[in-house]
Amino acid sequence: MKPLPPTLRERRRYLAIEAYSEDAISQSDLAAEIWNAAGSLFGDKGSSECGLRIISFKGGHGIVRCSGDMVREARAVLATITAVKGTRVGIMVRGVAGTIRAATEKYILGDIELRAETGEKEIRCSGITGKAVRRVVDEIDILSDDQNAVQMMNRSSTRYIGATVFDITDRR
Amino acid sequence: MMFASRFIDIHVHAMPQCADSQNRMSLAAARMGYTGICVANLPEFITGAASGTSGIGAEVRLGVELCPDKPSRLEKDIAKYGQQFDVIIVRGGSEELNEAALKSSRVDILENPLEFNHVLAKLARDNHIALGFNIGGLLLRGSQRIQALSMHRKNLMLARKYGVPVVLASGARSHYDLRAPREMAALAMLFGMTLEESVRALSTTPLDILNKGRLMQGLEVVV
Repeated sequence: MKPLPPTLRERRRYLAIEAYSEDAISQSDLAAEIWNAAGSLFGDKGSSECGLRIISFKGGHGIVRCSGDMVREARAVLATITAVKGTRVGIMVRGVAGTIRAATEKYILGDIELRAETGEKEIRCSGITGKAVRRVVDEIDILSDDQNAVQMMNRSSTRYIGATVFDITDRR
Repeated sequence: MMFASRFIDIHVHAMPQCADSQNRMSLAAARMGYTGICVANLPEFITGAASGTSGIGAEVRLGVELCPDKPSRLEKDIAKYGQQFDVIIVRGGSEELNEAALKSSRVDILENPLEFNHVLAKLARDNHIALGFNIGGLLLRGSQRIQALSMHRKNLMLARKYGVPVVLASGARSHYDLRAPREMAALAMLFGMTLEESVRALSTTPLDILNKGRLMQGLEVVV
């Protein structure tokens, strides 16, 4: 099939997104959740007008496409996502561009931080003892089964205690 | 241009009510583009934590979220916590409770009042109490979100008509619930808020509330 000439193609925008999640999430699970969220927020008709589609997603960074005049709606859909397959997640739009290349170069490449340093260290912070499961720059996720910690995590519906290097009082 | 303002999330939760420490919320908020947050836990989760900055995160100010069951309880809570905190947020309840909150000179924000009408809107305007839009309800799905949207739409209509100051807040219970300012504006669009109104509700109006607390504290020292 012959592709449409450029003047007849629909206008599109590309959102560079960053997802903060408890554990790694896959592109297909995120795609299903975006689909779900859009369907719930705007219905089938509105979702089709929004034209949301995930182009790529890896290691917490990705590109999402939407219709050119539906950027705010697309942002709203992404903002309503709180969990993917039971894993808590928050999505932030780093920037919007007119091409995949521009979105990647402007908002994703320079911004990737090294998301490494996963070691199980016994840690004490704010009166809670637990194991550090992940550290990104100054932010640390702690796995704890303290009575107090469990209650706090239940109230937040999360799996880890969120702390920072500034909170640590004791390290073993 | 418009998004070059100073943004403040005027209502988030932190330890010990929720699983994220004050510093963690501050860092996560700074990453999203906020310059300040206000941690307002329920009274039973108050600690001796101090306001201030960790140096690299968003500035943290302390508030308290009151959700009393009756007006007399509200008065007691205000007498107890009014001096201690910069920001007093009252969660909307019965009409009598909302009225009592709007008549108090110490309350800063009445958040998500379901029972809100033209009389209360005039009261809020006259006493300079902001109407809070907590977007937490918009992150749910189904009937709860529909109800939240309807409530916000009605409250926004009244706030516009009577010139009541408006603030937008995430009410985050973990750093996963925080939303960047543009995302907050996109969510507020769902119940009809314009971009200009959202920016004001995330920057100048909350900033005024924080400065009001500081000014009043300053006055006490001088006198």
